Amino acid sequence: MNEHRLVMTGMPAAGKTTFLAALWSLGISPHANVSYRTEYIEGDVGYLNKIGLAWAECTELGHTEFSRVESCVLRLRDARLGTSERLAIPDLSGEVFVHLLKERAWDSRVAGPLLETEGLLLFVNCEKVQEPAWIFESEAPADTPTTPWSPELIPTQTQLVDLLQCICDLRSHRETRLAIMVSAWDRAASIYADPSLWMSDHLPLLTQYLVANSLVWPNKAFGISAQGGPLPQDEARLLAMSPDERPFIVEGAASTSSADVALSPHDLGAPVRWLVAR
Amino acid sequence: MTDEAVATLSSPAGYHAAAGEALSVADSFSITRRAPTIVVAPLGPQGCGKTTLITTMYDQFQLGPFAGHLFAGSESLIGLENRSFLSRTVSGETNARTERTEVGAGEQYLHLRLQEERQHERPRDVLIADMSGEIFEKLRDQPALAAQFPVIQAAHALAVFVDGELLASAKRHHSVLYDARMLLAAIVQEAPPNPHRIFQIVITKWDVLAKVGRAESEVRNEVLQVADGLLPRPASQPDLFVTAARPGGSAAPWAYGCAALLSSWMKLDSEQAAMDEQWQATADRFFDRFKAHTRT
Repeated sequence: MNEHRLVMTGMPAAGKTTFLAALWSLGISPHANVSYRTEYIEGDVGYLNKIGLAWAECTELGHTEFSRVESCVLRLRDARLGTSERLAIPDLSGEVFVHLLKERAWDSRVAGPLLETEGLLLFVNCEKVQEPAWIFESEAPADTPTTPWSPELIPTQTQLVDLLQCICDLRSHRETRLAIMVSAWDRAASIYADPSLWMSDHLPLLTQYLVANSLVWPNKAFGISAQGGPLPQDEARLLAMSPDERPFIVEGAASTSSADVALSPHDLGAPVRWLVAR
Repeated sequence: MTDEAVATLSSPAGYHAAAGEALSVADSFSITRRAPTIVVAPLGPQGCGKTTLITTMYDQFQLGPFAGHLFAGSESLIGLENRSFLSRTVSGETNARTERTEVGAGEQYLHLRLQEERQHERPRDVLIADMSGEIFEKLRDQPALAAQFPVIQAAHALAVFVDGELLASAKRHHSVLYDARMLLAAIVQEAPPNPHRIFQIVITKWDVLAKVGRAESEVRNEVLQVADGLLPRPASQPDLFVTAARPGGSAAPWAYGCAALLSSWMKLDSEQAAMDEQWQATADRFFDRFKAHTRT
């Protein structure tokens, strides 16, 4: 059995838990056309079942509590190769990365997995990007109260570059595969065919950083919609569909030559497959 | 899931992340030791626009590649963001401004790691000094104080800033040129001789001069005279740049002249600094000494 350790990173409400719920649920479904199927249920999967049930009911998943680190282990069979894989992928609250940004200290429960991981999934919700905007003479707001500076107010792309730089330091600049997970892709899919292009337009600082540091961060972008549409607006439409067919994924360009890895448009296991491929 | 089932992962305690703020001389040593580093010293009185110009260069990378380079990282990312904040709408300010660099902050550096867009070269580190204008007012009056500032000794580029807004003022016009000449004279006198060091003059707030109808060529010629007879050979004249980091109105585009200035610094690396190992060794020795001094 092959052992893998991955870490999901990203700011709060970036889609980490919803992705995990969909990955788990598709793995146990008999009909889903995905890279990985659940081979064996190991340990207590109460948390995975809880988020899996919510996902099946199209219920928006709440934020993962700051104080909790859910240690999730998935025992999977690779649908292509037939190999057995054990994947440890803790569900960390996005608040721990806000804590890092503000306090410049790693939550001790996060540093361990990050040191041991063989790949990172970096989540960014395409609907919740705080882009930089400057004051120009003609656009000065009239009577807005001034706001004291806080690291939380810096643009999303700067927060993510800062996070990657901190992880890079923590890992002593070891090469680490990075899957950039652009979540809520259903909102961007009508405009962008490729999540890499969305990144160039909306996260140009992060895009430059990744191009310049592709030796440390071999990377590939994925557009993912783990629910298949916006909630609660699309709830009725989504509930009428098979859960296996709701999620969809779009593969973007990779920094290294890489063939597409998804078995189907619904294969949320594709980023995992790309991260653990050697 | 029960609380008992919540895993406690292996927990190496005590991992601190880099502060990401502006770097002290000692902090910057980790960068200069790792690879040849371009060190730039913007020099000028309070309010002449040194910090605004640096943060405007950084802001341009928020939008995409700038001056033929990609943003490859920064060890002072939080410091750059902090300095840029009052020019962002999120601050709630009605006019873009830059918080004044305090004299008590001493000598600090903002760091950029940049890579040529063509990606033929490895990323290069640039350290840009961010010091209070009050320090330079003292240096102008007492040149010997330069010995206390590593950046004056070790910088590859010494750039004297001339405030365009004051140049546009009938009352301040001559005094601002006088001030620039005296500061340049003090720096040229006290900086250790090095044929590869370059001196620059940077006119800021060009938009204000443009609004009062000054022609750029005329202003250039006038300001260049500040350096007459001061520079050591072979450089008889400093390079001169005309900039408007955050212009008001339509007199100049945003970041006017900033790309040319940044490009001039990045060229230093390949054309001068990297070729001159002796110079790098001199700079390293100085930083070594400073580091030892700060430890004791």
